[in-house]
Amino acid sequence: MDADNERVRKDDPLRSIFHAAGHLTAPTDLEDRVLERLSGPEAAIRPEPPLIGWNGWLSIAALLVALVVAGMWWPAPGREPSMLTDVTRSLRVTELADILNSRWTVAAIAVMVALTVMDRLLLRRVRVFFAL
Amino acid sequence: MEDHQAIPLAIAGDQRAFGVLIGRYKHMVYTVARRVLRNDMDAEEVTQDTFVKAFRRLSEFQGSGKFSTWLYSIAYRTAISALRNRKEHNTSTEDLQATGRDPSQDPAPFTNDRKAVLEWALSTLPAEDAGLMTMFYLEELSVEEIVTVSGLGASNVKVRLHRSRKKLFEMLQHHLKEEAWTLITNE
Repeated sequence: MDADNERVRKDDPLRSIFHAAGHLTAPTDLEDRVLERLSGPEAAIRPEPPLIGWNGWLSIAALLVALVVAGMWWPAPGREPSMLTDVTRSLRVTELADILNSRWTVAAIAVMVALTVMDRLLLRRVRVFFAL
Repeated sequence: MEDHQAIPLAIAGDQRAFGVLIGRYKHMVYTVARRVLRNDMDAEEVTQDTFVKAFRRLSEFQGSGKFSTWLYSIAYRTAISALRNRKEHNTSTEDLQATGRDPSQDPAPFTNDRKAVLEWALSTLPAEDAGLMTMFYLEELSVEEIVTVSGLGASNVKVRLHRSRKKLFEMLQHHLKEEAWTLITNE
């Protein structure tokens, strides 16, 4: 090995042997077979489907919304049960902060983040595995 | 038609232009695949898969690098994936040896034909290293390019090349007749 540029040295005997032997011969009909595959439906460029599809994300979003709504309707400690008439009042910033600070909301957000990370990692592994 | 002319045409869907690229690089891709997989059928399948993947991903090719290096990357990684799949199906290397298909167990060929002796000597190396040696000695890729192609670290590539070179050198010296070895080393 040439230490200067980390390429094979021209006078390396192994280089001579590799060059004398040359390439192995690919089957003669290889082009035809590849082009045949490219002409078929298999060759159509298909975007990689996400592991969690739109339905999955919609379900998660619906669950989150349900949690938020439940948080709005759930009686806060030390307060009267809130009814439909209290909805507008509950949208005030302080109430929203209570909701966002609730364990349910934090847990829902944590689950969403975990699923997103898992989705990305799995997709990356699939891409590496299939050399995509 | 040069690569830089064929590639944009192939990206636009011109299969004839892509056929030119296949014709130019098929032996190169097949050689790496065959030396990693040590099986004609698997090597042919991987060669086909490599070109199909390359066609699909051609728009991702960065023109700053060499097309051959980019193609090598797909070929080498596809061959390694195929090798892993095959190992999983065969469950263990013991199975390979039991069926007598482990090429490293084959006796040295009674020939002075350089190609046959080289193939035999390469088959005694770990499959991944046989691919790396082909890229280094035949295609004359630099260590840096091999790092890009294989995804291995630079020090790992250097160690593998050094180890493989030492082993290959000794084996070829033993099995090529003296006059052939002298001829080669004097070339």
